[in-house]
Amino acid sequence: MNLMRPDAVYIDEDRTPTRDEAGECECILRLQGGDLGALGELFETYKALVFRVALAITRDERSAEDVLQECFVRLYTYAASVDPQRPLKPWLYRVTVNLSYDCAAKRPVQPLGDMLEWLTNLAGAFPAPDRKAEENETTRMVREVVAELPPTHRTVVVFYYMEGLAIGEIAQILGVPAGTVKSRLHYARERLREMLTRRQRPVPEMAYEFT
Amino acid sequence: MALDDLFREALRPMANATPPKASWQRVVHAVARSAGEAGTPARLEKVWAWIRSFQVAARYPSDGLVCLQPYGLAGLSPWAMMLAR
Repeated sequence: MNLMRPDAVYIDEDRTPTRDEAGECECILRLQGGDLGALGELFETYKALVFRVALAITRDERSAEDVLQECFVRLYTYAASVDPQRPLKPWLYRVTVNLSYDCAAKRPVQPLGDMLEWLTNLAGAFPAPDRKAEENETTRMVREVVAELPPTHRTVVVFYYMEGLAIGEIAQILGVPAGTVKSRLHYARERLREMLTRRQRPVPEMAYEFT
Repeated sequence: MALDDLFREALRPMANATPPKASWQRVVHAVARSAGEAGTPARLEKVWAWIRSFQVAARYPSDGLVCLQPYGLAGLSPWAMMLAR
């Protein structure tokens, strides 16, 4: 596994670091200097990010917990190889993805029905202001499509739609060409379109955001 | 609704998922284990000092106690802890 930081992700050498980035840089330097309390601070900052990405890829809560643990053990172990001048997030994304792939390959996949039920419960626990009270059937269908995608494709969908990353950022994190990211997104959309057509629902607009 | 919006809407609850509270304890245990296996006394001393610091740290008071339980609370040295495992 490549644990090095992906090159040039989110980096603009000329701009002034924000207060958060300066704090993160200082935190990484402390970790490199043996201050293990700094690991706790980074854990507090990024635990939710690592967990939700791992959960979305592995579709299994236990696997996501394992990934979360291992990700921060690796951060501790490989702290010396982390460049404090660069944001930590892309490094964490990459390690999370690789660990999640390993986990997904080793563990039996959680039954789709269980995962959808869990997601439905979660949606009820965190209702958006404009959210309908009842689970929408189309939403359920979309989740089914996402859950059935191969992990490599699901990762792209998760990064693009859930994490809000740009195509270029996803490509750099995953170490693949931007065209590959686009084609994986295209595949996911086509799968959804097929499913919507099969169930004789109106097919949403054809235009894609990045085309 | 556009396909893009459908994906966003469907993934929204996942974006709010949070790890269980015990996840930090697991990291502490795993780091202590990995330090023990990696094995330099200096490194282990640092980890041990770190774990001990949880007893007085306001931030993770209960985590500190939970972490110390498997190793005993009688002030054993890190090496004794590792040998006793």
